[in-house]
Amino acid sequence: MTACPRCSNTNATVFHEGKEGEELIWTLFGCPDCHYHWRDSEPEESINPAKRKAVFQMDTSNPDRYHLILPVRE
Amino acid sequence: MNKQSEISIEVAKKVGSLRDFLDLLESKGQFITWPDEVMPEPDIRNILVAAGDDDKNGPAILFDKIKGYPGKRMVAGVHGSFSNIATLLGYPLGTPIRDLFYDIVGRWTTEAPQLPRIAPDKAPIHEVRIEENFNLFDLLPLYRINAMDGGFYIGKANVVSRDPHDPDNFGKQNVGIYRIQPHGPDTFTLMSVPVHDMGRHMLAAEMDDVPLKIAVMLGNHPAMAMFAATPIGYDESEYAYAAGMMGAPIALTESGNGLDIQAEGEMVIEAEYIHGERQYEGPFGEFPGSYSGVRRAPVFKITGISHRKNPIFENIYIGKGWTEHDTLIGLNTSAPIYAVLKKEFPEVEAVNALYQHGLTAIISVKNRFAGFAKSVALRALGTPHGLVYLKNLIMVDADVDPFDLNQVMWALSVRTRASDIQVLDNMAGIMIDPAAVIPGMGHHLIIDATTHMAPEPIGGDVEIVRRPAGQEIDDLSQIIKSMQKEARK
Ligand SMILES: [Zn+2]
Repeated sequence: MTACPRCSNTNATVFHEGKEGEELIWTLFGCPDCHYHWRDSEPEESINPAKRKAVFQMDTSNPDRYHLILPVRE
Repeated sequence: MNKQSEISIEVAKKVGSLRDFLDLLESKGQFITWPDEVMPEPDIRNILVAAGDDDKNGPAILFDKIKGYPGKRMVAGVHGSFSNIATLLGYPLGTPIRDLFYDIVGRWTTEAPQLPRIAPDKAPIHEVRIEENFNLFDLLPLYRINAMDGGFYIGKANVVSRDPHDPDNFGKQNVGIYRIQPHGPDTFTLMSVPVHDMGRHMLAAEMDDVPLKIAVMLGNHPAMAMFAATPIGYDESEYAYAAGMMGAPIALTESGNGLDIQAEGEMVIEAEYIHGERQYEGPFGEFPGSYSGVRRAPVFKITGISHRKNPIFENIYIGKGWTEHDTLIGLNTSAPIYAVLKKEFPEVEAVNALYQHGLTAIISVKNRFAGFAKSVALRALGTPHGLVYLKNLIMVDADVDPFDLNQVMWALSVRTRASDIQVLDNMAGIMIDPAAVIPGMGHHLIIDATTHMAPEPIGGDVEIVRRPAGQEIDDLSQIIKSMQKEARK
């Protein structure tokens, strides 16, 4: 259970681990709810919810507030 | 007719692929390999911003020591400076932008394109084939281009799709540059709106419930990267156009899912459109230098991948300018506007639409009579690109080089009056202009900085100094430069 820095849901999973030999360099996570991806080695402005600018946070409970790029056929 | 020079054809014949072009750039000192280990973030971003600051001479940069991606290679800045563009077109480093503009205008053709076919089993792009267990995050050294991007974007892919209603038509096969956000190990979103050819293909496939297969090409021929973004007719082929512009062959082969792809590209990701599925996409730092926000975008599922051995992942830095994106598309944004105008107004000398995809542009024109330049400006606003992109338009005389901003500023300083400024409000605009009150709407501003002529009132002290120019002056500048070099020793 890993919390997403963007939508704060806790369903994120590991997508990839960056290694040099046996050494783990970073872990890459993906959030299945808001589709944010991040590496735990990134600067805090990208991955720390407390440091991220509020306007970039997401609320996935209300999808309709996000513009649909191509209309979906009924 | 393609009016390109013999030298440029010789150069073009040597460049069949991204790798060939990197070799050529290296021979000119325009390609470097970053010597140190880098973290995906923020190191790659920082280095590419620093390289992009030098729009005249910045090099392409290859990274092959990206921490956590051992053995993987990534290159950016391939089109990052005008010297790199000059190299592709067969000109010396430091060639003035105006000369490159006239070169591209002179090449405007799709006559007799050379598109040789290579059998898939002989094509370098199919050297390594993957048919299962796809993981984009493992396969490509992905990284966050700008700090608040919603994902690790692929910003320089050429995407091929066919018209689902006319799948055998080569011309209607579209190749375009669309931003791609990997979503899962084997899924990604692709940003295309209904006015794009690709958007039309998606809507048509959904409407008739037929599959839409696409090929995402990475590490492309440098002419494809430049010309796939050029607005051409719906039934014109971008391959034919790019090969025609280069006057040299671009080899094609077939992807695993039956599309025409570049035989010597680095990688092709084959995918199928998932009907009706939309997922969150963005934000993404776009060419106006602002983030386009979160949208719900169409989703594709990977069905196969081919790549060359030890592939190079080519990406781009895009964001607040100057960036590679500006250099990549600038001249190909300017040339079609010029081509349309020149047909109806032979007095048009040059078009500089380098700034933010033409949000600000400068057109030089021989003024025939008072008010003439304003009419030319209005015609420019009626070109396909001008409709929404040409927001601020500056008209200058033929004695002003629109690519030399010192000269443009001179014209603005001494050739404008209040009556030369016109604002057309509530017009169509681009969706992602951060200044727009309503996205998709905005103003067109015309500043007529051409000389006033009768029957307009003429002011006092209007005689302009004849500034000496030509070969004699050019030779003298060279002499002064070498004297200065001596003096610095
Ligand atoms: Zn999330």
